[in-house]
Amino acid sequence: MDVIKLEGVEKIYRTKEIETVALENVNLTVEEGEFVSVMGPSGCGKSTLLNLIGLLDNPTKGTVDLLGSSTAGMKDSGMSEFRNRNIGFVFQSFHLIPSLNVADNVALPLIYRAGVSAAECDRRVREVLERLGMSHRMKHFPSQISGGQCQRVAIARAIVGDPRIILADEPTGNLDSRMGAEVMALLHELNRADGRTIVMVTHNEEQASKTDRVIHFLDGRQII
Amino acid sequence: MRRYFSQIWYEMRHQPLVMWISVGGTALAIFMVMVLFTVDRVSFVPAPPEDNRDRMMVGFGVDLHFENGSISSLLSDTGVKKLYSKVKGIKYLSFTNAPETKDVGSDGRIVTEMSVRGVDDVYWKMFGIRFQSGHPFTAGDVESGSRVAVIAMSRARELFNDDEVRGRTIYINQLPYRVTGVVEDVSPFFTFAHSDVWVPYRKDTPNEYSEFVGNTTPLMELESKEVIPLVKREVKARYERLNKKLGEEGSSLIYHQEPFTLAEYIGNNGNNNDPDPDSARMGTWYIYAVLLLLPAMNISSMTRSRLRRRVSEIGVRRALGATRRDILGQFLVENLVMTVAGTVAGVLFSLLFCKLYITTFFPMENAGTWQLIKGGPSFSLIFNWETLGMAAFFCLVLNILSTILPAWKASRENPAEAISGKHD
Repeated sequence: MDVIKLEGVEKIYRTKEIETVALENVNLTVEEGEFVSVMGPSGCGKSTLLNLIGLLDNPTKGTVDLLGSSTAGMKDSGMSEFRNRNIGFVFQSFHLIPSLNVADNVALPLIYRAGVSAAECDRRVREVLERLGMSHRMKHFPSQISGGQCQRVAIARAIVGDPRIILADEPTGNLDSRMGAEVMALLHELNRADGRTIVMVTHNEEQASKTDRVIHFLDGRQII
Repeated sequence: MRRYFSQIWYEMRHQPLVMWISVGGTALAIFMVMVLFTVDRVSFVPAPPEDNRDRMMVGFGVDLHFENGSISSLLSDTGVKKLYSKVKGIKYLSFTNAPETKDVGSDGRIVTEMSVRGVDDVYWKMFGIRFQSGHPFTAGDVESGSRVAVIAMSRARELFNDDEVRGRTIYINQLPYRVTGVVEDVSPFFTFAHSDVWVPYRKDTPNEYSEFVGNTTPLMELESKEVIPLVKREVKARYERLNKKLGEEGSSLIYHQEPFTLAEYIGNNGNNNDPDPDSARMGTWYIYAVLLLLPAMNISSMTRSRLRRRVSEIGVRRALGATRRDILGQFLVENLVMTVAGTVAGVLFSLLFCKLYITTFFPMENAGTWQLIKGGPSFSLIFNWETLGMAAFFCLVLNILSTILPAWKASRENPAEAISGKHD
């Protein structure tokens, strides 16, 4: 089954003076359980692609279908709910909320989901943090843990809502090689053990080579 | 809710100035409204020794117009009698001289400046000024112009280093006066009851221009506050009758809605004009509005500043499934918590101020009990929960309204751009 399907996708950023083509005629399918890497030089449209798949932005042209459903015409609140239930995000800069402790950061997707009780939320947060070896840091704040631990927490946050798709934007970009390897191992485990579909933007060829497929972009176009 | 507090506590620690200004602005606004209200109320609320403030009136002066000029002055005793004597509804009519600052000394030659007020025997019936010893002077003393005086206790101590000074002599502008009584101090906030020394009212000498011109300030206590319109109507009719006669001599008395209630008298700031309590009230409301709007504007600007710093957080929250409404609600609740914190602080400051105010400015024998205080208004009289509630409510509403626009804008941020911090 195609979990992600992009057809004729184009993204153009317009200002009064300038028009920038970020993506041009992108046709892409990702099957369920696939781990796909997206590579290319800076500014080639990798992150834009991830934003479109993650419903954080709308394509100027073309269609984005996720989990067999068209996202065209979806309302903002519908997109929010879709993201909340089906997509987990991992960012290069972790983007943990500094005012919240580890447990509260991880709980965020569940807080925005209707019908999850506080007890259920706590249970799932605890489970996922235990799985990622971070349960002993539950009450710590992001400023009190290392970069590698921050990314573990970010991954915990990405999977706590049990999404089928994980979008990772240079998840090891801010980590040293040892911590980067740990994070990659985690992502592979989530892919293999849970069957989650992962799309990862990376500059690291070695990491990309270990994924199921590598897609290359240049100047907004998919070249391989 | 715990997460909202966590967020606010975090910002308190990381942006202390911004946060304290936001919370402090609200607290200060409520505090200032209560200060103004309390100070204003102290001037009007009936409290011993001016228990009759709600039914007290003042014949402030006379505005006399001639063919080739005019005189605006205090009334003469003759004028007072013609305008106010035996008016239906007036229980007491007291002839007084406005207080003057004079040199007062004792046998020991201590000379100091004190406020000296000329009053008649009726004055002592109007106000609940409490005698520590002795008695007020009599109608006979006033009639004969006796050199007798009543003195406030603290002033007696200052002059004689003694409480019991009845029968002793004080010197007012070097003239000897025999002390007939010593009274408890009266706060300067009581416009008509306050003085350091009281002497017999000095009758006016005939004025070369008009029998209405003199140095008398008539104070009236009415039978009840309900008769105020009746008294005004009666006095107006007297003006009209007098003007018929004065018109033949080429002069006229201009009626300025005398006698004045205490609010009209204070609102007129000592001018002999038509009272305009509505304008005075509107002025007060304008000040209240500005005081409440300032923290709202402050919070609005602080909210914008906080939101600018949290753009990427908004993007992350949106990515994790927050709707625009969630983001809007998040910032509204955060500001609500801050406003409530500011309101609580404002209420506490106001209570503290009110207590300090009455303990500092009014003589008391039982300070700190917050009960009815001898010689001053009680805490409950000058502190008004209704006003405090209104100030807090409007502060809350204005602060929330001022948050809505920046929070709404934040909720409309494009999540992708917000995460990348493009608006940071």
